[in-house]
Amino acid sequence: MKRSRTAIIVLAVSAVALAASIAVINFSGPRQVDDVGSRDALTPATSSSVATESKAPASGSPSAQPRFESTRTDATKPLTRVQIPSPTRIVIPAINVDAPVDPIGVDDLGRVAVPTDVSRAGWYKWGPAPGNATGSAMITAHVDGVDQGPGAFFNLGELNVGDLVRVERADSSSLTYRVIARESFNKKAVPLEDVFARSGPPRLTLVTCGGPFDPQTLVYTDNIIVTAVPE
Amino acid sequence: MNRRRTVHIAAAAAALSLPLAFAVAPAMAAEDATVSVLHAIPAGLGADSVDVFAGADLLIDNFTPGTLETVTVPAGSYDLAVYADGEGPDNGTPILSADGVAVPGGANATVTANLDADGAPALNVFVNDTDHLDAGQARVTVRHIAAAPAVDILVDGAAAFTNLANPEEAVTELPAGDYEAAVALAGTTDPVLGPTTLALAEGVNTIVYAWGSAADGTLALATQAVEAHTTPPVPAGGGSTTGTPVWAVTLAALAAAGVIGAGVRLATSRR
Repeated sequence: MKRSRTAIIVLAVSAVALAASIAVINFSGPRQVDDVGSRDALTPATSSSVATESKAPASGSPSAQPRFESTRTDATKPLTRVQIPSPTRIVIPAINVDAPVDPIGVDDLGRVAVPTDVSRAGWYKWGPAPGNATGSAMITAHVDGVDQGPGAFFNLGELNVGDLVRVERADSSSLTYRVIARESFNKKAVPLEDVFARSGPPRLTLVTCGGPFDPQTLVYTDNIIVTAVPE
Repeated sequence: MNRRRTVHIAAAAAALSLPLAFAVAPAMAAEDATVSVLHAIPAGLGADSVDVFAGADLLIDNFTPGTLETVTVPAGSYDLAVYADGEGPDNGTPILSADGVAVPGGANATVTANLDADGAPALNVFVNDTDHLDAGQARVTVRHIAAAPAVDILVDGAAAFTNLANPEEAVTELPAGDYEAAVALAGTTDPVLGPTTLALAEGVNTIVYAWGSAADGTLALATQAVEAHTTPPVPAGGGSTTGTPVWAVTLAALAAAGVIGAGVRLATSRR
């Protein structure tokens, strides 16, 4: 008899605790955002893969010029990567973001190793850097942490077309980008080829989580993707 | 992980019928193929400036030692021949040739004009591995095309590939980054080439050639970068899954405050 009464108390207390904790987790409710703007301008012109038809040589004799498209390099020089200063800080005045940026790679499961400290953002170092002549420089941060509260990109879903994003770099220079699109995708439908593109027009892609929060898995179901182009 | 292949060799001087089957990436339906040619015959050996022909077509003009030229060609079978500059099929005898080199659509290959182990000119055809690389990974290929004995390749001071002989190659995958690479005679650790910093880029097959002649003191390294197939990583990012969930923290806090001490007693009494 006594045991069951205690059990009821425990259940009740647990329920209160759980409700309290859920309230804490969902400090902002579902992070559903509408799409604004468009990335269409970035879609690279479809280049024909059927190149080099052309220039049939005079029959029987070699053409004076090489027939096929080619590029020549000095193979004796060591391969050097184009050195672009790493991003060190991201500043987005419109949503009060001023966060340090760490170079990040992938974890053991092949996922982007987003900084576990939610106050820090990460630049995907295997992709283009901000300032690269081509492709998408990707900077990501957790929207929040279950034990850390709001993250660096907590308000990313409130960015609007035209807002400015400043990226500070290791050489003390900085780059300014202007937002052209904010979109929300189910995590299974994120246009990864665009987010991690190495080619095409230079742009900055900011990624965080959004959409409904799944209390079972402790993750949001969507990604918010903000695309910005050099100002 | 390491793989080694003995390469199909073309012979020197005389044309040789050589049905070479290139590996083809199954997903590639493109009609074009990528063929690179590396001039790896040291200066002063009669090939200082050459023209490379594919059948009657001039493929590469005025080609000099140490240079690499990459050509996009339609899939097909090619008779490759190397002539002294200004000569060609109409008016010359090839220095080197290889007939019937099959180049399927989507293939990526490198033809080297180099010295064999004994110092005679030779053509070799290598298939460049563009197989999928995971995010963060790099591929490195080493090819021995020098007039020199078998070698070991040292990476960060340790032998990564051993007893590699002309015209063999070896391939492995490593996390992208900078490595110290050196070439030593097989079984030794005293570098005959290097050490040099090798920057292995993510998603790229970095191909390193040891070329030249040990006897003539012209051993050198040449490098080529070939993009491999990659897939982007999964972005993740949000709702940190690390650390202790809030509910656990909350329960612990409540327990500490004595609010759910009854629960602890219950657990104890049930035992």
